[in-house]
Amino acid sequence: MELKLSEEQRMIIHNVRRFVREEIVPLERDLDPDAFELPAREQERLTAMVKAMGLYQMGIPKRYGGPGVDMITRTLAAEEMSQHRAGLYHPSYDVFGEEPPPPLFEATDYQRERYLLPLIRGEKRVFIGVTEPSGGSDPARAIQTKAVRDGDDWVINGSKMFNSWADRADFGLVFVRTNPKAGRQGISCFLVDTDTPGFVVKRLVHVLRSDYTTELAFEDMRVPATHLLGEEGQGFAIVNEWLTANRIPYSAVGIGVAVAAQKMAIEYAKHRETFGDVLANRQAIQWMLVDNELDIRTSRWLVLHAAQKADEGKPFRFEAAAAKVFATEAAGRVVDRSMQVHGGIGVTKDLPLERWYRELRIRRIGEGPSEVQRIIMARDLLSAAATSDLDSLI
Amino acid sequence: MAEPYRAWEIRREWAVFRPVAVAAIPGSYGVYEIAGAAGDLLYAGYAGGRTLFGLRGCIAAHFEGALPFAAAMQTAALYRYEVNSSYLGRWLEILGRYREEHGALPPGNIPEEADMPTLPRFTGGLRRA
Repeated sequence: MELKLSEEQRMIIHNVRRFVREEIVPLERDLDPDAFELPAREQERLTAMVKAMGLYQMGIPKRYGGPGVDMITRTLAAEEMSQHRAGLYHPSYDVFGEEPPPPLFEATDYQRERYLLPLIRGEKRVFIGVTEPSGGSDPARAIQTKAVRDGDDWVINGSKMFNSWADRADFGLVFVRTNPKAGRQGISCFLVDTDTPGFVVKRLVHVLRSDYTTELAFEDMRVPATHLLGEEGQGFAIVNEWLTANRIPYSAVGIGVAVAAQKMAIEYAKHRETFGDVLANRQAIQWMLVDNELDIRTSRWLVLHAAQKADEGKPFRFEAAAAKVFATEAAGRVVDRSMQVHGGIGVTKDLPLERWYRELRIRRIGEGPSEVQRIIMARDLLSAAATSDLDSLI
Repeated sequence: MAEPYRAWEIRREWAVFRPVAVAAIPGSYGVYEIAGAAGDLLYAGYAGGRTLFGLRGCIAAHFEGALPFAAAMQTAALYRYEVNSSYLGRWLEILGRYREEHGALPPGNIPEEADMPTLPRFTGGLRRA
């Protein structure tokens, strides 16, 4: 077993880190502390820079003209991209590109032409519609939105909840029930243009994070049968695959924020004086900094292990769930302790800690709450699909 | 026929601006609207994390003519506000709804349109039409 960064990985990390420090962080000094988008001219300028650096949409396979960077390297880069105020939900304000949901790579030629390629070129944006008012953690049962076949179309009725970007995206992957009697085999995925008649953004849902989400309604929304992604009834497998893979970068950006908070806490502890001495000389503070570091380093190993298994084409469901539980909970603890080190100034909007603190709370729920990740892991342990032996490293 | 419930609107009643009453406006984060005497919306804004004196400072600045788009605000008479820590999202929501109903932003917001975040869009069918 070897964990040694290649020259290429070092270069990518170095370039992303320098980009964030020199281009993103200075811009944030003039933005509102809750900003989640850059002004259009800055977005275009920085996206062009990233493209010139060859780091735009790093995960796009080479057969689609992308750099085809592996998951480990993308995980390391994600940790760097997120080390700024808006970094948790908008790492580097998305100027490194929006990676297409993996199932789109298996789409039909027509679908690839209409959706995947414009997404790769940065001309279209996508949202994912899984969760409904009836729930999200158990999509096999919670999905009530129905699609009924009518000639060459499917007619969709129902609603979706907590859809980020649905009001600004050009299309979505919408998961619906096409067979009410078939359980998880009764769910299918459709590619839905957001300008389709019957597609309604019912309301914006304001949450703890700075950016909002949406509630959607589908009212006799007619979608051509050619927009079915994969086979009818394959939707559950598609969403499961996507959710599992997404847990790795989702965890990595949380580590980035934790690292940024830890750096701030160390710097502040070295300078802030109380009762005639700097905080850094107080054992209570030293222990907080050490606990932060233990959380950061443990998270990083778990996330890299999941990424390594994904890169090797091995099953990584258990590892991704473990990474997601630990990294999201640990990042919350790190920011909490860093805020404590800072005292009163830590809870103001002068510093990014308060935003990270609020937004990290969502990470223990979003993309499958900690409890669901533990269910996934318990199933694998009890069925011997996962083991505590050293074999787990193989 | 009763008017449909418009959940996205600021629910507080319009108030006539009086300099002596400025201190009663909260210094909190939130969103606000400035209108003409007939309630015609001239500008929607937010008091965010870098705003001095929050809603109070923002609303007062409009009526004191201290803002660069004062020309569009010469008929300003009324204001209303909502204290809200999700001020950016609420602001975009108000502007997005207004644009869908009127086809353009309120006159006072038009000069700053180029630097605005992406506004939400609400109805697929209407957009296509």
